Amino acid sequence: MENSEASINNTFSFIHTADLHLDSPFTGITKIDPKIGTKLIKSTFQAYETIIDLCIEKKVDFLLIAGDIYDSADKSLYAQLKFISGLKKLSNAGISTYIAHGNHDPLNSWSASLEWPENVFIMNGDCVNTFSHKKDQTIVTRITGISYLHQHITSNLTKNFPHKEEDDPFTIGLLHCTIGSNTGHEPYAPCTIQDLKDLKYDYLALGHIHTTSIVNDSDPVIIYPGNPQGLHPGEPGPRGCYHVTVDQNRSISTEFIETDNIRWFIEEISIEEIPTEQELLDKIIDRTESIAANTNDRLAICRYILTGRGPLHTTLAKEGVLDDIVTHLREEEISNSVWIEQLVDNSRSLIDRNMLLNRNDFTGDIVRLIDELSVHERSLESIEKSLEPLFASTRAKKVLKKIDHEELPDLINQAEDILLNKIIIEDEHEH
Amino acid sequence: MNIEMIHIDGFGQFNQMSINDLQPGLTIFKGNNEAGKSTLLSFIRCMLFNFPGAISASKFYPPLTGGNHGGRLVITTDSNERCVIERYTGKKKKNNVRVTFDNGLIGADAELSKLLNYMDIDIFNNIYAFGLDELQRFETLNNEKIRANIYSAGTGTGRVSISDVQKNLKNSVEELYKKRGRNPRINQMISSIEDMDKQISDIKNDPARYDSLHADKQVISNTINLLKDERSNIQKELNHIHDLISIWDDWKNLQDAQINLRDLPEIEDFPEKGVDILERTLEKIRDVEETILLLEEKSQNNKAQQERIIIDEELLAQRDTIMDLSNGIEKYRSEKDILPEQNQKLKDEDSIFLELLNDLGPKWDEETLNRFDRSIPAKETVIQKRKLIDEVKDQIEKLQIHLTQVNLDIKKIDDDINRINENIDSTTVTITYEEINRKLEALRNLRQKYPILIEKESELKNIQKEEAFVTAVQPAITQSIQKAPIWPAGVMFLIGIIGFIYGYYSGIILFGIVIFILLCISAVAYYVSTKQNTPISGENTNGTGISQEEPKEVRNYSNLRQQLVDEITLLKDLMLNYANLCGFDNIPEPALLEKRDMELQETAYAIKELSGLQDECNKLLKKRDELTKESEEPKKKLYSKQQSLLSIDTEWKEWLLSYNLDPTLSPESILEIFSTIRSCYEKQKTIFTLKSQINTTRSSIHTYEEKIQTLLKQCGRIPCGLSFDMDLQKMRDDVEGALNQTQQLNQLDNAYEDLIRDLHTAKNRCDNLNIELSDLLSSGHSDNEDIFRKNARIWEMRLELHNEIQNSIKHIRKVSGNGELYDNFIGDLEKANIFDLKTDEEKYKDRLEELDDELSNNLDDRGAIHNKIEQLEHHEEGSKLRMEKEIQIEQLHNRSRNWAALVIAQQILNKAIEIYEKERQPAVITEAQSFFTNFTAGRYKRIYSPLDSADIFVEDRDGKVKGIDQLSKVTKEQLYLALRFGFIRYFGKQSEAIPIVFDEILVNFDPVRSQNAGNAIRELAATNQILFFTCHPDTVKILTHASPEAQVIDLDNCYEN
Repeated sequence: MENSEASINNTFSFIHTADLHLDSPFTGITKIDPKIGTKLIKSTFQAYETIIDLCIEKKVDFLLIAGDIYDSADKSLYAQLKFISGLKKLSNAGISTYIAHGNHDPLNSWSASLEWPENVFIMNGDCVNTFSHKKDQTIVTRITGISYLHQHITSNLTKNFPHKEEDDPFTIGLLHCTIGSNTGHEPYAPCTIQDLKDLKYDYLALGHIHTTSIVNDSDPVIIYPGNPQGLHPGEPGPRGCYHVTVDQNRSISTEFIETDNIRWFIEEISIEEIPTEQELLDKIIDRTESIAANTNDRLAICRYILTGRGPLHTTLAKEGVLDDIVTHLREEEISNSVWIEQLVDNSRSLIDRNMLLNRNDFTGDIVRLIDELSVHERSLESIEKSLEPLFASTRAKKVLKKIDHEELPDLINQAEDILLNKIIIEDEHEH
Repeated sequence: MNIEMIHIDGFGQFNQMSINDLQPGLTIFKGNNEAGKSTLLSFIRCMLFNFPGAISASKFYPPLTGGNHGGRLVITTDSNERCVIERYTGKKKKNNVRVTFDNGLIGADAELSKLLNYMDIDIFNNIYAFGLDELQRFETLNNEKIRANIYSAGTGTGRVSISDVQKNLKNSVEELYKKRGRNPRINQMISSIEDMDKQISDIKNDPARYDSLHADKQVISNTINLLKDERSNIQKELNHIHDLISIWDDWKNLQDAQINLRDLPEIEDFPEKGVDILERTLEKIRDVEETILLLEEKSQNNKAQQERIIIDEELLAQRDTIMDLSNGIEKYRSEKDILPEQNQKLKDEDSIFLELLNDLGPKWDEETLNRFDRSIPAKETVIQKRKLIDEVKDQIEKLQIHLTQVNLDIKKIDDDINRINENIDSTTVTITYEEINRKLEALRNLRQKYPILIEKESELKNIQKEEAFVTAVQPAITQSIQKAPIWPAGVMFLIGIIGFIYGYYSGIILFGIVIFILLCISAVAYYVSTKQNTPISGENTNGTGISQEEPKEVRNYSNLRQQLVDEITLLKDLMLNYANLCGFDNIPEPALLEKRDMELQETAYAIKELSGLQDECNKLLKKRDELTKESEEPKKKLYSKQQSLLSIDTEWKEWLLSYNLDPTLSPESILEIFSTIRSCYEKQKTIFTLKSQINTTRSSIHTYEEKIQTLLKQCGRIPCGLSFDMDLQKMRDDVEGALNQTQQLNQLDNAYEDLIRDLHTAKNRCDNLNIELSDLLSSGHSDNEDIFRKNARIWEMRLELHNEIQNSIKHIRKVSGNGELYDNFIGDLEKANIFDLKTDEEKYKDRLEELDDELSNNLDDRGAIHNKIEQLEHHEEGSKLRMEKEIQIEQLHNRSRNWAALVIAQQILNKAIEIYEKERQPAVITEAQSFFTNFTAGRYKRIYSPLDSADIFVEDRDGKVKGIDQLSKVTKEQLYLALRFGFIRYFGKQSEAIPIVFDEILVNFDPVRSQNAGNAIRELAATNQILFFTCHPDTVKILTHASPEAQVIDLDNCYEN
């Protein structure tokens, strides 16, 4: 690192964000109406604009973006142009931006025709970069980082980062990486906390993990801001960015600021003490109203998972009932800020399975067969084989997620419900 | 249940046919064809389950040989209960059966149905009572109810159709996905996602396209720039050529001019516009010379005019006097005109004055007039007098008017009084109002008393009667009655009357009436009480009331009578008084009373009226007196005023006399005189003024005339004799003429001086002009005009050429520029050739056009690229598509899991069905299986029916499974028979064993199978009565061999019964 002319007497602030995934679609949604659809399409851009406005409002000195600005797989030109447009706004306001690209937006995935505004600094892909940020002609901080040259970077990039010297000014590391293993994420640019600590930087602005977390709260501060907008049911809860302030003593204060405009809510409702459809509707409406009261101008997408055993299961199992309930709830227009995405029926019937097992008839045979299926590997294999017409078909393979072993027991349970509902319901009716 | 007896009344060929003593177990009915086996079978069916509809005539079996259509069966139930089932056709199909039990109870369909365990007719006809025809057709076993009974007994799912469930699952699976298909939901979703992928992948090219477009745009921009440069260059060249061409004429002119200039003689300079100046100068000189001549002529004329003018000096010397007099001529003339008028006016005024004096009086003359006191105090005295007199007169008049009015009022009142007196006089009332009231009061009292009197008289009569009676019985004892004094009653009565009168006059008549009534009542009460309290007394001369003892009753009556008599007497007296008061001599009848009352009322009214009139009269008299009194004062005043007027009049007369005026004159007259006198004085004054004016006028005229005369003399003129003013006028005119001449002379003199001066000036000018001319000529390098002109022409030409050269150079410079540019341009012009230039021009023009086209195309292309770039920049379609794709993928995921669950359910169900088919066949089929195995001598070991399937499959001993269609006809019959036997066996275990009727069912069986069937029949006969119809002796043999105990009935012989 070059010797600095750093002044340690200046306060400065910045916004740290990552994983914008501009123009990436929401996943895990089964149905939407046109108005909601438009909001969903615009949601990532809306979150990005919120960050830009935040930078201007807070009069930050610069913005840090730690990768995955957009998904290069989508090859969305619109996303790139919108991103540039936001940067231009910051540039006009005198705010710099420092970017390190990630696995989804490697350097080679960006259009060559984009006109990047001034004071936008992009980390190289072939070697580590350092930019000095000046305030009133004085260097207040150095920002070191590296971009992904291409998508699959699996080496530990921190090894190439220069260590901070004693006289160096406040130093920030900007990197799109995975700390540890078994994170549930693709292990791009894997490193450890110790690797990061060894650099002796003051602040590590990371990206890649979509859930916000303060990995280390001091010496250095290591933060994943998470994505500013959750895009599927696995990303519920608040999403945002970090506003970081560094005072003249290099004390760091961080503030998480919510930027999402659409939020997922996954709610479980047990049917065990709900005897009628109307009561279930009432319960869902109550829950929805409660969610609506706390949305703060956001759109809430709610998915209700029905669980437990109850007499209502028989009704719910009928063809089209769940869809009708959802349609009815949407027509109720409980709140403009809540969209009920779907009802998932994981409930079971009240049928006494042991009693059925003891029956010496066709119904009993079915239940016993199911038990055997769940146990014997060969039976499971035969089931998988029976599913091949769809899951092994060339066309379906491209778009359909394969059924893994973990799903089979659940499917077998569903099959059991289907059969028993058909046989026993009428039988009970008969008796 | 067993049939014991069959009796056919009329059914088909049978009439009154009975078959008795049928036994349980097997009964073989043998009979030839047409013996009636089928008929008998049908009869049993009809008895148990009613006749078929008339539509199926073949089964109807109408009684062909007579008898009632129907018959009866005698049956015995499993519980040994015997009953008779009778059925005949009739009008009603329903309830045409009668079931008669042993215990006498009679039932109908319901009871029969119960006996038959509610068995369905189809089941009976197809399972229990069937022939070869039914046996050969599988559809007869395929009836829903039969099937239901056969097949669903073992699933435990009740009426749930497992095959429906299977179908349902299959449909659901196929609705979701088929390997080859477009309609199933998953197939559609996959197609939809693939389409979206195509669109998305197309959109994914956007960045590459964007970059490519930008690159293309850059290339085109470069091309455009190159083209523009080339165009610019060519344009420059073309412009240059245009310039050369445009300037070519100028260039040519330049060259020509230069040549011509060289040819002309050199003249260094020449005055500008020399010729013009020359001409002008010559012109000026000519003008000046003309002016000089003119001036000389004028001066000569002037001189001549001066000599012709002669002026009268003498007249001129008197000019002022003449003018003064002339100024006064108008006055003179007007005075002369006024004088006669003044005289006339004087005359008129004199006559008026005399008239005014006459108006005053004959003695009035001017002297008198002057002596009269017309001072203001005198006049004021007259005025005051007049005023005073007027005031007094006015007062007198007012008083007189007032008095007149009062008198009129008094007269009016007198008239009213007279009128009233007349009315009073006309009214003849001799009675007073008080008297009338008394009479009325008396009348009222009479009216009141009258009924009392009548009552009392009536009571008296009664008493008298009773007394007479009593007396007749008992001697009457007279009694003297001591009378209490009755005068207090009268006093009270009188007081009442006084009270009434008092109340009447006091205006409180009500009070009077009340007092009167109270006192009357008191009087009456007193009177009555005196009568009642009188002790019983005997004869007594002094009336002291010493009573004598009499019999009590008589005494009472007597007392009462007496009392009444006294009362009546008193009453009558009172009433008589009243009547007298009213003018009756006696007590009148009520009608008379009323009449009198009316009269009195009228009289009272008249009196009232009279009283009113008198009151009015009194009022009028009072008013009259008041008025009379009122008029006293004005009368006094009037007299006083009149006296006052007289004294004033006397004073006035005295005053008039003091002025020698007629004493009869009034102040108004005197005031008029004052006015006339004033007028006289004014006239006098006017006359005096007029006289003085006349004198003044005359004097003025005279003076004026004298002056004129003097003037004439001085001017040596003789008067014209007409008038002085005419003479004066003439002199004045002459003076004015002389003055004009003098002025004229002076003017001429002045003019002459001016002319001389101008002449001098003109001559000077002429000299100057000549000098100028000489200078001009010399400046033009000439000494005469012709040469000058010639030089001028040359100079002009030179100038023109020079200008031309300058213009050409200027034009060229305009196009080429200055300095080196000009030199280069000239160089180009010198080298150039107009034809070549034009050729080059065309060439460059063409090239420019080409370049323009190329440029336009490139610009269009660039614009198009720009639009595409813009479109790409705003292309949001990808976002929507990706979202829709994700939604589809999620839905596909859910559907695929649904599909998977259904497929697994299918698998499980199939497995369960397999198990079922292997291990859980219906009992019926299990039962049938053993029969079938027997029938086929073990060739087939298994019958089974797939779950909820109507299909039957058999498995031979080799394990080969065959469907029904794969079996031979006989084997099929055996199978069907086995199924029926299985049915019968199974249901026989659970309910009443119904009789079975077979009609020639073993006809196709081979001997072994027939034997086996016979064994099976025997087995069955153990539980069910079997009636076997056959025409084949072999069959009989087989059956009897298998069942030796079987009953055989020859149908042919049955007819005998």
